[in-house]
Amino acid sequence: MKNNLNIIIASMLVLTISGLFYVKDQVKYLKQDLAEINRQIADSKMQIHVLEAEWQYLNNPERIRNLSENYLDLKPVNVSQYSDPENFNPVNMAILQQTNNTPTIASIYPNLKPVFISY
Amino acid sequence: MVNWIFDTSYSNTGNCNESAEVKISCFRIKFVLVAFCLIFIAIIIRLCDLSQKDGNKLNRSIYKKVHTKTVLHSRPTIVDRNGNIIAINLKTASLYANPRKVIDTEKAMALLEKAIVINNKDKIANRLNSNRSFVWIRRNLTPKEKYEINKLGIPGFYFKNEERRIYPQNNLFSHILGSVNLDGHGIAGIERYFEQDFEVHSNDDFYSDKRPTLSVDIRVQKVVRDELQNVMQEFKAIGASAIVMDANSFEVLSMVSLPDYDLNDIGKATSNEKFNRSTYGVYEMGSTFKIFNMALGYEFGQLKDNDLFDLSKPLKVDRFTIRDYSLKKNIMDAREVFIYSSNIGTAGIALKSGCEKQRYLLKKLGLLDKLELEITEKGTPLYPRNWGKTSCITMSYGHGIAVTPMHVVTATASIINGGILKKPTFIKADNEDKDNYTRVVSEKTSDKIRKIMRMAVEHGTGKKANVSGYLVGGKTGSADKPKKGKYNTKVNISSFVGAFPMNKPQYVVLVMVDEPIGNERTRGYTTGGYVAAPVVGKIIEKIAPILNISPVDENNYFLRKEFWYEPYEPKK
Repeated sequence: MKNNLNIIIASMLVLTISGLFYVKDQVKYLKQDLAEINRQIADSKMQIHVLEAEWQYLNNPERIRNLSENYLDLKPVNVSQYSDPENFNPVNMAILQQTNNTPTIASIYPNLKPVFISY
Repeated sequence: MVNWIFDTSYSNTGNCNESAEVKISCFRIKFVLVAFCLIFIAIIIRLCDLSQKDGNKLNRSIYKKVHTKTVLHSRPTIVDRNGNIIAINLKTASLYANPRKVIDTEKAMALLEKAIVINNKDKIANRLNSNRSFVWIRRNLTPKEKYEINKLGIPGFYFKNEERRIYPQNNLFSHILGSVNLDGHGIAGIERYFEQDFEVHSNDDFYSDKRPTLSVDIRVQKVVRDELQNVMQEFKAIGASAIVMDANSFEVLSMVSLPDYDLNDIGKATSNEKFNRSTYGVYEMGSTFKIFNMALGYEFGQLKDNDLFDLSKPLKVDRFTIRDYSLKKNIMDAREVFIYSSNIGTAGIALKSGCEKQRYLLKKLGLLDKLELEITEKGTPLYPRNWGKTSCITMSYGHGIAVTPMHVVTATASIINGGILKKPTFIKADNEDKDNYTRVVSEKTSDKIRKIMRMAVEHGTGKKANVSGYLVGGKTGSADKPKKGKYNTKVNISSFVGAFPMNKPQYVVLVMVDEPIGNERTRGYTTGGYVAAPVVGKIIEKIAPILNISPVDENNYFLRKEFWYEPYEPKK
């Protein structure tokens, strides 16, 4: 009985010690991996940084303007070509179609009298 | 147990209770055994604990020890409000030599000449022949140049990694960003403003993506600069300034001062180019001050829209005579005094409201104090120490007081946005700071000013600033420049301060042209209406779509009603 106890305790001892060294090694390998990955991250971040500067340089408004003038067949947009999405709801579309151009006061609000005009 | 350890046994029977000595030895052994057991159990428990722990909770200091060698850059990147980079640090290589290790100086120099440009060749050649241990050849090389030199493989030449501040937009943000000196410390503009912040944060957050974000918009800045450049060239002016500001949050969307300089080449900039005409130079802004005078009248002078003013005779005050030029009629109501920019009428309004109230309002609008702004180049307004009746009158139409264009924009914005003044800022505002404001005029006054500014553009002196669909409102200014106590009628400062859309103002635009020379197109005139107002119109036309403002139908019933204007006709 006592011998068994001895053997059990002794083997626990051995297991513990070997377990400890195993964990220590694992930690060491993991740390190395971590350092390597972090180095790669820093490297990538550096590259991204330089690329961002490159991208911004290529996005210089003057450069874009020159490129669009030389290669695109487009002109600057006129104010009359912009509109509010509100104008495209069914009610307003119907009014616009009826009058064919900018609606006058009478056509949109036929029941309202323009009382503020008085001479 | 005792048998196993003691073979030359003290005890004959193996029993712990045999004698006192055996008892003590027994106890000691048991004690040590128990102690070791406990220690090992503790180790086992700790191991189990550690092996199950979440890796992320490990001590942060471990990360720092591994990473102190991988600091990216010492100075954060500055971006505009949409994330476009306007200032960035890049790693460069600087070439130096150890003359003691250089074998053949001439051959080395000849080889280097093929790869890069070397300044001061003779000086450097002399230094290379000397017995020094360190000689700079050229700093801040591009990666391509570094590669070429590396390929040559000349002994005795080495690279040192340095950082250089690069401005990808060249001229576009000259006066806003300022500059850095050789050591990379900010010495002017926003770069200097952030200097303190950079030192504090650069070590903690170098893995974070926090970038100082400015309120400026690169697209708006580009439009404004181009238009300003055109007008300056057309009228051969000595300088020009333009500011676009958000009327509600007081963020500066664009600030241009011409002439300007390339930020990457700051050594070549002249002091005229570095002079900031938008926030540092003070000028008598002229009739744009009538906006503040009308606010004074409505707020403190009980001015009514149908108060009449007699403009037939020039107004005499002490030794000054105030005249009006090219006015269409002799009797105008209060609104027309503003719309057609009458000096006599304006003086009348100022006298009606009282000079103390004028001073009070101008102070409240911030026009008498130095600006509060993030950059260091701020001008202090000039006004006479003795604020008598004469000063009161001249200040009502913008003479006798000199302020910066930024003052005018800020004050105008505060009047038309409902009467709330905040500090102008170059930093993008987060919406948390809503309570930091002062009220300068009532909402009712603000409404009235909005309307007369729109009328001034629709019917008055500012017609050339009108862009259909955007309800542009504003005020022209043509201020003769002072010269030795009098006014030089041949040179002036032509300005226009406008805002849009006037039913609910979002942005204020100011353009100022310094000493324009009239040409054929303007029939020799250099008034604000001819020189500056068209520029504001062109700017608004181009930036409104960028800023998500859609055009409205100006013939809409409600808008026509809101901005209805009837010229005053004397009853017959």
